[in-house]
Amino acid sequence: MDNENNVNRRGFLKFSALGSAGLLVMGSAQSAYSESTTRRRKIITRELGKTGIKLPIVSMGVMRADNPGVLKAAYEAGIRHFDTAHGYQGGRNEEMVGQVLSNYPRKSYVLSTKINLPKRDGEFAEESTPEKFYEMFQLSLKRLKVDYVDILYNHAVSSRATVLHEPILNVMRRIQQEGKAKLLGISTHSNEPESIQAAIESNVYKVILTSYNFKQDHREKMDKAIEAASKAGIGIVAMKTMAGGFMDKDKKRPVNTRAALKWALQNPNIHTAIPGLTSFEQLEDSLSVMEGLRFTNEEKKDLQLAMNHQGMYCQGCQVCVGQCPHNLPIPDLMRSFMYAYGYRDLGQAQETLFSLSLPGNPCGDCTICNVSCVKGFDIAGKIKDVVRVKYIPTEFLV
Amino acid sequence: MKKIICLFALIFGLLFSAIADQFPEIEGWKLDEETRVFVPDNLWDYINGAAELFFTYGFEKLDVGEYLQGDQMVKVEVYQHKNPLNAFGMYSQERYQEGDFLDIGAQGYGGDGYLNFVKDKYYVKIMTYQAPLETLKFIAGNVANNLSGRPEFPAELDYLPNRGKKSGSEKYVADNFMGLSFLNNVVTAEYQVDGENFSMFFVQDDPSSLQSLIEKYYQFARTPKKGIREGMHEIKDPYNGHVLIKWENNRILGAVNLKDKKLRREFLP
Repeated sequence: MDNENNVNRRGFLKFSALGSAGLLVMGSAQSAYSESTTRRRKIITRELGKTGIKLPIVSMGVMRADNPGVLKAAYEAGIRHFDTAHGYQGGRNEEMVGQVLSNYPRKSYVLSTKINLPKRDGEFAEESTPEKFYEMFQLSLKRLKVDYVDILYNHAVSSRATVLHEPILNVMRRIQQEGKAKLLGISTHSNEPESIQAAIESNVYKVILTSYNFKQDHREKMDKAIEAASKAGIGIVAMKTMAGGFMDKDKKRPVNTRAALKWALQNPNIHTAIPGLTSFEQLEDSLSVMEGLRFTNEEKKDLQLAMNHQGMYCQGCQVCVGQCPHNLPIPDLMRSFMYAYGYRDLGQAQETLFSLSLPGNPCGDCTICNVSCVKGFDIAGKIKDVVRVKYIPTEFLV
Repeated sequence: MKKIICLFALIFGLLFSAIADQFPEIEGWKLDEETRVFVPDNLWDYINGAAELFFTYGFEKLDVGEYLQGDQMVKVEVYQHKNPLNAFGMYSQERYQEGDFLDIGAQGYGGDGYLNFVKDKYYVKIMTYQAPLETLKFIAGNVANNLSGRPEFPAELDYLPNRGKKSGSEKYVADNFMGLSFLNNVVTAEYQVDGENFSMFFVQDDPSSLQSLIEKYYQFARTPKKGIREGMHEIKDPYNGHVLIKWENNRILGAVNLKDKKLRREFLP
């Protein structure tokens, strides 16, 4: 469940008295806020599973940030969870995080890092020993200038075997028993559903950091796995929400990052997300998402464009029109499917369905569907999925 | 059919020779037959989240090979970037600022179990769990000598003044320099002169883009100005401090937190 916290915080990029603020030296971003106007913002927070931690829905992936000012500004703006890894920037990233966060009370932020040991063919490589894991983690603590991290991830696992690898589980338990990590977790970028399921079974991992975005082909499986983990009390942190940031390989068509982030966070089982923030502009974008998840018309349009570009949803080519023996309006039904599964906007999906005057069970008379989609969509299956939305009581869709 | 076989032979021949090019024969060591190649589409499979930063720096290809000697294994990763500036940029992102640098390629550094160096458009990372640093230096020297290109820093770094420049502080930042989305492709370094600490940066672009950059910077600092002209600009950046920018034709030289007026005249003539 979402909570809205009234947070007194310094207005981001709202400066007054620049005459004095401008005299600040590099590395004193905090002081800039003392010259800024104060305004009240409602920040949406969620419980990180049953870990006892409550976080704003937007956290910070520090990964690519090499400017301490952005990290300071993020903290000052109300972001409280910072995610880094042992390997980012060859260790410089952890050092920068440690340098900046050492200026703030340790209990005022949630810090996570990850240890990635070499893997081959879905298994840990021979050289990936628990001793190495422990040694790398000790170095991470030193770089981060802390006695403990809040979350320690077994990084980049993509198989049941790497999630449940007993020597690594044991060394992680040892680290936790020593008080050097409050919570243990996994991070997964591929084959996520299998890794998530294994994490649930482990009863050791309490946080899962997973790729999650509107472009994933296996999103239905992802949603199910994430829901199961969330029900098991595991905190779910989303990464890669921007789906690479661009729709094309030439990076000329950027994804609307606000829309993409909102899309991920509209899943209530995603407790927070860690967009990679490297500029004040990106930070401001993310902060606006912390306040509300409703799409603007432009964001909807951009998201639809991005989804079409990826080919996950009907592009309305009309080739299928007339193929159905019952003359079902297939492109309209597919549009409704996109509203429901793409935008997660069940109200709009239902409204579209009602406007189509469909029979109660549109595909009921057919055992085989002869409609051939140029994109190879399972038309009958998608229709079967989406028509269920018609029967959801309207009051539940508000 | 014969043509197809010839084509495959050619492709595999080229691929093999390309891989073999990165990994020379090294006396006393045997290169494991299983070398691997990663391209932008699958770099994620190898270094996962860290791949994003490599993409920012024009990553094109990674060759991974392992040299074996008895129980010892040394892994060599050769990252090929679009150009020497990009390779240097990635190298500088991961480099320790303090410490002794090695005369390998354009520059290198190493420690317990690792050695990294840059040469031309190649950024090379060498690591081991067993071999001492001296062994890594030996292997790195062989790999560096085998790579094409000049063992020098990119020419763009020459635009920064030399006096007072802190060794190992030079960087190329591909995007969002100082967290500013309009300040990209920047060469920068830190300075200590007469007890004063400051940093300098350099950008090269067409004049209209540089004019737009300065306008955006004024806008960011909430002191918008129109009709920006060449010459000196002073911006009070609420996050990064006091910034001086000298714009001439297609170049910008900037200084951050350079207070002394005499030094300003010297470093931004």
